[in-house]
Amino acid sequence: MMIQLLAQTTPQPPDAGASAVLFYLFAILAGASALGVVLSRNIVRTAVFLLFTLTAVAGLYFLLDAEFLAAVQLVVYAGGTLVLIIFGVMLTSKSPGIRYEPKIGEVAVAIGVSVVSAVALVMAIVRQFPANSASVERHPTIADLGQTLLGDYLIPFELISVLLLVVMIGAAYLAKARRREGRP
Amino acid sequence: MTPMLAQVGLHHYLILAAMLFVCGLATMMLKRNAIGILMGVELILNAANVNLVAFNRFRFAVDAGGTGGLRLDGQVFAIFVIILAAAEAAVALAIFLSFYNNFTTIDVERGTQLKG
Amino acid sequence: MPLPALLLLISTLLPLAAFGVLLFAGKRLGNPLAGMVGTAFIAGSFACAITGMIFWLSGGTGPMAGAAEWGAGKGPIVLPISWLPTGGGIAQDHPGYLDVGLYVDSLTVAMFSMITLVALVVHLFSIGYMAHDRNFHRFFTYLSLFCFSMLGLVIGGTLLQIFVFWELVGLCSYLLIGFWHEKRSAANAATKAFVVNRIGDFGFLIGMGILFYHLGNVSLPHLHALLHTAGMGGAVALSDGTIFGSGLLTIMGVGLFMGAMGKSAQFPLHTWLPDAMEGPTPVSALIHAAPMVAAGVYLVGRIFPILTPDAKLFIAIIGCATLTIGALIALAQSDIKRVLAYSTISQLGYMMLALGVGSWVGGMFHLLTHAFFKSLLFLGAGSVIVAAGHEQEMVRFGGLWRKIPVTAVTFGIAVLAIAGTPFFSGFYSKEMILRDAGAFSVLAVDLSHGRGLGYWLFFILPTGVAYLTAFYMMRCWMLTFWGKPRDLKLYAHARESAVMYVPLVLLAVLSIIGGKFLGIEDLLNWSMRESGQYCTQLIQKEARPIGGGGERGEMKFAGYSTAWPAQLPGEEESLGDDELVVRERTPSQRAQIEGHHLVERFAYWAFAVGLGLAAAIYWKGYAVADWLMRIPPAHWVRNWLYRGMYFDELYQIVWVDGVILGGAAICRWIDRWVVDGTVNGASTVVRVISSLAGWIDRHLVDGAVNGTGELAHGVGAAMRSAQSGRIRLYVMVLLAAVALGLAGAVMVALSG
Repeated sequence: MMIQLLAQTTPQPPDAGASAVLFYLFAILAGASALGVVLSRNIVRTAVFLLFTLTAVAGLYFLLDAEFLAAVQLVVYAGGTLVLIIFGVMLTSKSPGIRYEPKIGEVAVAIGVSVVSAVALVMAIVRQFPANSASVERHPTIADLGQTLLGDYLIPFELISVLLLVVMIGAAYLAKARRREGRP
Repeated sequence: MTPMLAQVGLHHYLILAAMLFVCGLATMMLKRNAIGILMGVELILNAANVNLVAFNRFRFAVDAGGTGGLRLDGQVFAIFVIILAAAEAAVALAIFLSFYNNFTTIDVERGTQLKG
Repeated sequence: MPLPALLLLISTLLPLAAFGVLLFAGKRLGNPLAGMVGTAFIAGSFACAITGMIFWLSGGTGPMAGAAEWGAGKGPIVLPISWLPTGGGIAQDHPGYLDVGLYVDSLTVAMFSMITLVALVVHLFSIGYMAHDRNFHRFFTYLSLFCFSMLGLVIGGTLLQIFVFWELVGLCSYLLIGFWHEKRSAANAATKAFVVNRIGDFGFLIGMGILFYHLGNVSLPHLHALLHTAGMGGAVALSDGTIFGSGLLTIMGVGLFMGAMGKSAQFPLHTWLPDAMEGPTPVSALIHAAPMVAAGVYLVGRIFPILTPDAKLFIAIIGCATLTIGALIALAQSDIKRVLAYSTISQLGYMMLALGVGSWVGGMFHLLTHAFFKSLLFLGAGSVIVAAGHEQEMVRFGGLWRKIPVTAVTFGIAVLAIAGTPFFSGFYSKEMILRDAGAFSVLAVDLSHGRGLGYWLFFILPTGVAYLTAFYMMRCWMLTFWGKPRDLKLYAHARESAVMYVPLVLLAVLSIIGGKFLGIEDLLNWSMRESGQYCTQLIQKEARPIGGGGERGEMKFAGYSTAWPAQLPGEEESLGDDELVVRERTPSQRAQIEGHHLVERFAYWAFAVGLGLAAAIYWKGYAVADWLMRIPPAHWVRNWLYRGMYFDELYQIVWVDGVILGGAAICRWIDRWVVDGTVNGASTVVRVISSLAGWIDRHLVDGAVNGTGELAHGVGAAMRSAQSGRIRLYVMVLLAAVALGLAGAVMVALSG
């Protein structure tokens, strides 16, 4: 078949070694930026660290054969939601660099809670799930995803569209109503 | 590189997701800026998403009875989560804007009028 | 990766690096260091492109998909990377892919050299031109981004990739037109360019969607191999048994061409280009003269093999209309840059016409030669404008040649080249276009048995416009440089700066030798042969023939022909081993010879007539012209042309006002009948129901509610002290509870 012939001309996806390297690259990027989100005191820096985390997670989606999701992550999350957040930062602060420091006691509680949950989660993961990984029969395509989304999940899909509409109107109303009262 | 490290499997993704989750928790607790708290929520949602997609990839994505379709429920849920995150961010920011207009600050410590 | 492809890739990425550097460090580098950094990077890019071309000419074999051999005249370099598996596609067992990739053939190599050269020259020129601008570094940042996008567009191997870079190029164009955004007209022009281009891109997307739906892939080699028979007309049978109908193919072709119409400022969408002259003049030279507006022509050239005869006829008609309208309007403009803008529109029309009549080499040839002399014209105009203290109206120029002789001479060379003076570059490409247009008309009239006399327009209009071109360009030169100075104050201060000499002279040399001595024509002929051979290889591996074009045993890549196949020089050569075919000429070869005779008879002296007439009329500035304008109709015609045939006003009335009025009417109708009706109906229903409910409420529910309320009140009073109102305390408690619960659950699970 012509098409198969053309298909041979397309190179194979990177082998396991390369994808392992990529995984560690993205994982370290994601983890380090997440730590940055926690530790950074400047809210604008926090947002930038969050952007790196989101991008690295998109990279992980690529490695997990979820290309569409990766694209959505980049476009909607990194491109849309984060920009929204940054707008929020700009609109709610006369000087974005201003810092609100937490109290010592709160920091102690936060560290305790974080350590407890981290240990619990890691123990659960290591003990509960065997390390082997099932291989996929074939690479899932966007067509498969589309079938699932508009087949089994049609009603949730429609509901969530309505929800988005409601949210849009609601957010616009919330953000605007106060200003109208403020300036009679 | 040991085989354990070279062979990236479900574990690796789950542990990374756990890390993201914990970072999200810590962010929510430490930030006094309301938008910082929102960012912590975003981190937690992302951790959940990594879990969903990883489970889908390693546990669930098998051909369903030769019908040609793969089970991609995990990815679908991840998409829903992303949409909900966007919706949540929009509403939350609208609320923060209102808050800011009332209190001229974004420090959540100041918003204590709801106390009983 | 084969060496030329690697070099071209580096050449593409260097401007991106420059963009990065300038974006982050541009302000610190300042003026003029930022400009020098940008220029250094683009110079490296140019060096890579030239080295790549040298390696390309020697050719070689390499690890590569499909064809083993690459090089000039041997085969293209095709490097696909499958990116997104999308499903769909024409075979069940092989999912469709969204590919990215590289596609390098002789055309790519030639375009690379041209773009990097013009970009380098423009960078050099801008260091002088923008020297006093506050946002000096920002200008070079945008220029670098533009160069990267443009090179990425040319090297792109799939329509998708081309589209992405296409939009990037559009963005850069927007940023650069609106560079002086403090000026309201500049900001408006930028927006206009952006919006008009989106109209074209809509068509681009539709065309791409049709292709993707049917083939599951939009990479160029796939398209060429699967749809190579489209050029003969008729439907194409795909290997999975489905038929790609000819009507749909035509819609696809016209859709993709719409994208090109926007970008290359073709007739209905041409109005943005003259306004785009609000941008700095080097930008006009780089973007709105050569590389960017030629992107549309380049796109049509790339999809040429899959265009149906009907689509090509459409392209030829649009091209013909554009070249006529552009030349007519250029006759009456008084702003030196607007003359050049309309001249660009007209020349782009020539290129589109060439592609429409099947003269692929002619169109691409003109694209490359035009790039040299039009950039030269724009840079010359820039030099004049600087000399004249940012004055653009030719009314106030005159006699400037004594003050700025280098500009005058180089500008004059460009005028000669665009007018089609023999031995200048424009002559060769324009002659080829006119010859093929003549051949097309001859064949078309023959085939329609003398009834389709309208086809002669495809020869008459471009020939007539060749006279006009010489006239209006010479008019522009005469008004600027000749005669007595009309504004003495301006004349006294005029002087040219030495920084601008190098670019002008370099481009002037290229405008002279570009036609015959740089081998552009050979490269283009090779390019055709390369893609033909690549497709032949792909198709020969296939056991059974696909598509409907199997009459000739050998796959000729016959897509390079319209329904009236005009034989092209490249094909004569490849037919060479078959003596018979050469001796008895095919109808299309005969037509081409006839076309050549037509050109010799009617168009050879166009340059002399046009130049001479303009020189005679404008010898003494506006004196003769003003006298001519006293004849009443001439005055009206002049006004009509001066305002650009009122296209802007027409669009304002039809689209803007029309949409606003129509929208208002529709809204009023919906408001009155749909919304009001629904609301009134709903309120009636609600009133009935609520009166029912009220009865139930009073008698049954109240008791229960009051009881619940009492209960809630009691509980609330008890819980009240916990409600401190401090959100972060809530969060802490919540999360601590989560952590504890988690830890507990894990311990239970692991111990049990």
